[in-house]
Amino acid sequence: MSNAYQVVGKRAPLVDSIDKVVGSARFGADIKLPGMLEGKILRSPHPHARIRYVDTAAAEALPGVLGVITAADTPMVRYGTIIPDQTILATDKVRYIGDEVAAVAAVDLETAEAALRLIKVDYELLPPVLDMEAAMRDDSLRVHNDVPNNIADHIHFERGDPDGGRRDAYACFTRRFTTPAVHQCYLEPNSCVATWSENGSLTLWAPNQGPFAARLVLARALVMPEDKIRFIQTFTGGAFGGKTWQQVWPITAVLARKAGRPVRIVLTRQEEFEATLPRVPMIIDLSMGVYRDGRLAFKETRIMSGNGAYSISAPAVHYVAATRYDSLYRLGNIRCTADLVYTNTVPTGMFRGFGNPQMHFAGESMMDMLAEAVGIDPVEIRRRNAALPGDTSAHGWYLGSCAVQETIEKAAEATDLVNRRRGGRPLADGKTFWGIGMASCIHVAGNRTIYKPYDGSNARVQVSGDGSVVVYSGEADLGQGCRTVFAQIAAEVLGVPMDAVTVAAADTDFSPFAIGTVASRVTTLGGLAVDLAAKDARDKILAAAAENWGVPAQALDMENGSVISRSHPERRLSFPVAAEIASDALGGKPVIGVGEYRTEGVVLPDPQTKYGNIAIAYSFGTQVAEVLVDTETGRVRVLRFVAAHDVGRAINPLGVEGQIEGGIAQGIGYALLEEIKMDRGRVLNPDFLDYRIPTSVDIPPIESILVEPDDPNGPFGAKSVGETAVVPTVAAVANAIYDAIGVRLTDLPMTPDRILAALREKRAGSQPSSSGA
Amino acid sequence: MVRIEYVEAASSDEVLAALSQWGPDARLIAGGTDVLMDIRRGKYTPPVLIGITEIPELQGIRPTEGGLWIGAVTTHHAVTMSPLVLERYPVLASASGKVGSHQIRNVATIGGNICNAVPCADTAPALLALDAQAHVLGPEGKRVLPLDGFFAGPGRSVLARNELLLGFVLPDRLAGAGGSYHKHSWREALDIQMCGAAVVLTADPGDCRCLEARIALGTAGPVPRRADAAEAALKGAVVNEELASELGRIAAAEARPRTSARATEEYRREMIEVLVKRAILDALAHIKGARS
Amino acid sequence: MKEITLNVNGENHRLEIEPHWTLLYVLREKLDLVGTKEGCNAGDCGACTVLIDGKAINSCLFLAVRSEGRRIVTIEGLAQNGKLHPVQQAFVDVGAVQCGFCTPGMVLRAVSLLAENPQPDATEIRQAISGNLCRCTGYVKIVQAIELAAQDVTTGSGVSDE
Repeated sequence: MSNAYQVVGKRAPLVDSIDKVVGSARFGADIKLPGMLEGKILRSPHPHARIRYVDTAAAEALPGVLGVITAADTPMVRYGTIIPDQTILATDKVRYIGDEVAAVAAVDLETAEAALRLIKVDYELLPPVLDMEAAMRDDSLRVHNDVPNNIADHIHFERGDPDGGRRDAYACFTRRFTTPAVHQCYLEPNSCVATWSENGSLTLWAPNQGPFAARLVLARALVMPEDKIRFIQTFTGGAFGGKTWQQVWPITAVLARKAGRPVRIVLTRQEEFEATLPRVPMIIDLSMGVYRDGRLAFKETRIMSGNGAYSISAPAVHYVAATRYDSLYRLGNIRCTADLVYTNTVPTGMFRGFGNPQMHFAGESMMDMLAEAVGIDPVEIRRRNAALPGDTSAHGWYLGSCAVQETIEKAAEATDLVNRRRGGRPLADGKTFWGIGMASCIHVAGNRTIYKPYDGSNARVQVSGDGSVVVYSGEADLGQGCRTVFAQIAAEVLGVPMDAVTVAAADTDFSPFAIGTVASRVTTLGGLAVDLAAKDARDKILAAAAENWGVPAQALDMENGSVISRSHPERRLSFPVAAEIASDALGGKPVIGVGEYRTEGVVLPDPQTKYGNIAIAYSFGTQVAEVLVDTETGRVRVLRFVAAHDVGRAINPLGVEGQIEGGIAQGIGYALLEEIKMDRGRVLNPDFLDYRIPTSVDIPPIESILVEPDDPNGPFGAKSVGETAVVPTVAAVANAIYDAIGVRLTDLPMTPDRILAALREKRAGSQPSSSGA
Repeated sequence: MVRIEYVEAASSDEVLAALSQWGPDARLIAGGTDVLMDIRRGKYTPPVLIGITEIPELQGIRPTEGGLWIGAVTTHHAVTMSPLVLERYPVLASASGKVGSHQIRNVATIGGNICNAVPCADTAPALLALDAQAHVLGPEGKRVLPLDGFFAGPGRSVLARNELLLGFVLPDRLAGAGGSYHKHSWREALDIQMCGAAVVLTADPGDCRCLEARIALGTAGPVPRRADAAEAALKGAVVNEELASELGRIAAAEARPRTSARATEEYRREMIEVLVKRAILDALAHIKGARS
Repeated sequence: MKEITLNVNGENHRLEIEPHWTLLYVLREKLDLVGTKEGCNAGDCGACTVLIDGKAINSCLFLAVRSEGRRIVTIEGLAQNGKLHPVQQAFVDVGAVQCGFCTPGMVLRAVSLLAENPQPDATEIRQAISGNLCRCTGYVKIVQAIELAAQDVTTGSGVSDE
């Protein structure tokens, strides 16, 4: 696409990458304060038990221990990001293996660990609730005593005439798809450093996705005024949804208060796997049908989502799984029933894609089955059903820009998918099978439901007299590169080079209010706020220059880093000179531009029907996977990925590619390798040895194709990509496996033993055939 | 609280002296990648660690009487880079190259891999297939024992508390023999063996009739072991694809894998069949390649 | 406690250490060289990679007491006189850095690779860095960065060969 911009649309290395390559970037565990103690958390070894008493006397008596806390040291109020069902430390019961019971602060880690072993907890064991279906059926056993049948949230809605659609369908299938809990596996473990001032205010440093959102919940948990809490975002070593809320924050705060000294807690990798917030596991019973011409006739879904022991953000994830996929296609007849179920397992939460990859695995697998049933190819069925720009979907979502058609065509063309499909024919050796598969997706750019009171973002752009620029935003860079995007936007608006712009880290004392880096909202909503703030600063500089020249402000403009006269373009002031004039006019203060972006045309969906436009823009994409299946070992090798993504205008194409590549890598792990394995509530693989994420040799070359329609709402026409990139990946791999060996895998991960088992079933004739209704 | 002494031994005599001084609580540490993890997991807390990597006697790869000497503290990286190993016993270089990661292989030693005695030790099947002889020093002097019989159970070897593994000798007669190590794991790299098979065989270059054959399996029972029945069926037979498949089935039948969180017994058994077959075919290709 | 001298990034440091302390712990907590990261403390991720006598090792599985008398290079010691090492520069230029947590270990592993093999192909690079997990990039741009750096690093200019 043509690009009249100087900075926007250019490939920009991340503005903070030099700090990262020289090792000076300070992440959570790198923060050190004078007198700082090391903290450790005592966790429940039982999935479900009543706490009779906790005896900390011996731990407190150990030399070097300066503080031990139990629930009695906390406010013991219930809080939560959505459903108030958790406490800082367990009060009456422990509800999963890993539930926090007590914590110790000591002069060093070894002393803290030794003290943990001295804490005596008397547990009365209760039968654990482990299976979702049983948990819903049997009300005699509850994770939370006030929640009947362990159902944390129930969704039911209908659109159009799903029964009519089913009746009129030429072909339809019903399948159960299952997806496990998988972990974000950001390389940086969660951590927190907390310290209290004499006047009772609290300062915390932690890697996180949005310090304001974190502070809101912290204030509720600690029962203290929000403004008494300063939450500083450290460099954040990946998050992918996993650092929106962490129990380690309030625990470190309470421990620091008790010990009277700063305290640092760094989670171990084992604690990460056992007690942070992995992806919501789902059981999805999906029926879909098509008419003879390949148009979708209906979709009917029954979902069970695993909440784990506490809710955190799983209710929102569950809602996304229930709704989002439906707006990818022109689909009118829908019924969905979904339950979010408590069990005595690790609480689940946000993970890149937010419920959407789960449903896309089911839906996009089903699309290929339906295509085969009506005798058209995977490209054609998607093309016939794809949403178009200007559409309002069945859920009331307005698609201001939508290039899903183009992503389907470009991905198909780049891979010659239609002609290269194998249809289950082996290669020459008779044991190796090659296959190719496609999947499309929809995602959001912002989500109105993520924080009910407010949907927008704020920014401040400060221009000093020497022409240097600082951007303040409360949105968080997790490594995805929003500081770079913000610097590009401010530089573009002000007409300065990128290196004149600094983007400050998020800090609740100084940054303007922001919801944080969730729901793919930061480039769009955050970027729009920066755009407005930069324009405000620009207008103030133009006004000062106009006054200096004695001309009206509208006679001037900003171009290529200079203030120019519209009528006499040869008359110009360089940006630093203009900034100096503007600053002088303010008596030497910097110029401050303020921007607030509030969404328009976006509504909170109806609480019952879930109808309503939830985002200012929607992003789309289509990915194609090529795989090799060894039918003797069941091993699947991914050979190549081609990904065409509708991202609106790419503000930083380098960053967009990085997001696509990283998203696909996570998707390949989800498809083939990853699963938190449990036995009676215990995680069996709480380390990187047995929880395997892809290494460099497990990931193939990835080719990105950027499709850049100008979105009417996004900044410079930009939409989102970070989460979108992982949404279709699993389904693309599953469809490629089917093309290779003619076996439809419906359970994740698609491991070698499962592939062999499915092949055996196929040989025995028991795999359900994919012929019509 | 962890309180550990560290003693760097300069000679094997110093090791024996330290072992007798500190008794059963002392622990030898070579690369330390396993020892440190065992301590961290609370498996044991030895009061004394005796470092052995600086001892010249335990180092080096060099020709010796009847074979090739590989010192116990040779790192996997050194094994994979050794021209002598690559030329004579490529199956061992292949196995060492599949241990952990590059960073691990720069530190972890071949002696440590064997003395740790876990069923999934990558180098164990290769060394068993190569008929490696372990040279051991104890208070009574040196003894030489075949690696066959070195493993006493999961995590246990036949070494006495006061004995030290000096190294291995690989026999000259198997130098240049056809060999192959196949490792199966969930991931393509940085993974432990789900099961493994090493094959070393010599055959008549004319009709491919097997002269000597050794087949060893990893994670196919409580300890790395040879596939006796498959070996017996291989000796004297003409090696071809059909035979390789049959030997895979025999090896799978005699294997004793177990179900764990990593894999089921059934799947491991299936893979042993595939790995043995593939390793034999690779070894055969090696022999044919050498002939042509 | 035991007194040792560690040579880190060309400087000698006299330190009192416990024999069971890992090199990672000593670098981060006693020398404040926090550029070396702890991702798993089990040798399963490579984030704590440092160079010892030019060789990449996991510092979480290496006792500090055994580092005496060896040359240790951490990420902080790679840039010389404010100039980035070619590997660092390539990581920045091609966008191989996202969150940056795996970056120090990845960069050091790349430096050691180029010292051993100055012209690796993409397959060799992928093999070489397979002990360094990255969750952000899908490794695509990391491989590109190392290919680019290989063009810039002339044999012998690597820090590990100093």
